[in-house]
Amino acid sequence: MLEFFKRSWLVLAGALVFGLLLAFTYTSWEPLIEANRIAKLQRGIRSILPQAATIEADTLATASDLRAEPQVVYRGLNAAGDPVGFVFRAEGTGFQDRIELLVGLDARLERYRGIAVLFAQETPGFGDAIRDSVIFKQQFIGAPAAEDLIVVKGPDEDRPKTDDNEIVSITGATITSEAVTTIINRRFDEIRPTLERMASGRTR
Amino acid sequence: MSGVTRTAEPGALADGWGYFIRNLWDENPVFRGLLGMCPTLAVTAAVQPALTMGLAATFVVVCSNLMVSLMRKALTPHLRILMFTLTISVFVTIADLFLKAFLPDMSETLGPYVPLIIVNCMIIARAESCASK
Repeated sequence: MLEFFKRSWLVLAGALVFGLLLAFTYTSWEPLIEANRIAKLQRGIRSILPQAATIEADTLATASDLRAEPQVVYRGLNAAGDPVGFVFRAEGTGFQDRIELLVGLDARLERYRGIAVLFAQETPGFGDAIRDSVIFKQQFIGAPAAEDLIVVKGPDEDRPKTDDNEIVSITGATITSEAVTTIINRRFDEIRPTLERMASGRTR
Repeated sequence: MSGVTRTAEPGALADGWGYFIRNLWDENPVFRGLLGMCPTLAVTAAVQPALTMGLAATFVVVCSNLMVSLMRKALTPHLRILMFTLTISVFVTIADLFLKAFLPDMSETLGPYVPLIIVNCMIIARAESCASK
């Protein structure tokens, strides 16, 4: 035992000192990091529901949802208190890392209101256009929620875009574009019953 | 006080300057040796990420080398790399937390490349060849 301490005291002391240093640093800056995260979330929700006067958060209580973190749906209300839309989080695998999105729906769950990217590390210059490309993101506004979104290449003369639920992929980033629609379709399918209850005014 | 005044010899100063210039270009590990490319690859798209990554790497090199220098007499051969990695990882984590707290957009742009400074061969080599001697 003595031999163990003689050989490893430096590692033990280093781990203790560095651990304390990191604990102090994290405790000091954690409120700022959390505030940044909340500000980004609020910016995303506001970009999807700009006409909402207030935003309410509802925790989803789906029996099949086994995720560790509680899933939250954000409900936008106008000045009169009427719902103007819902925003939910959707997460999945992209081309090279996970993609985390905010997805907006209108109050009747008939059409999408848009998307915002919370986290994505897609290929610079190609896949990261899901974050910056207004043209790509605008396609989701008004797309019907009743049917799955599908990705098409083009539009061009041979294959014009025909339906609202068609999302034209980003050039050079088809996998990322398909990942976005798959993430949205899958998550919406999972929480659709709960959203429908919320939209109809029932809590359970 | 010994009363002896030391003055830098002109030759030594010139050697030091030459060493600095040589490492900037002729012996630059990134441009000539293609070593430690990971943080460099992350920042080739714009000036601001490049500057941020450069400052983060400089902070890690200075602080970790200072720490390694302080503990160099207690370092034994079997603990060397372990202590280098432990020390470097602490300061990389601090740099990463700083970016997340004060420059969140930049932190997102740099993504996983800031934590990857931990395994940058040049920083470990610096601790091994200079700070621990």
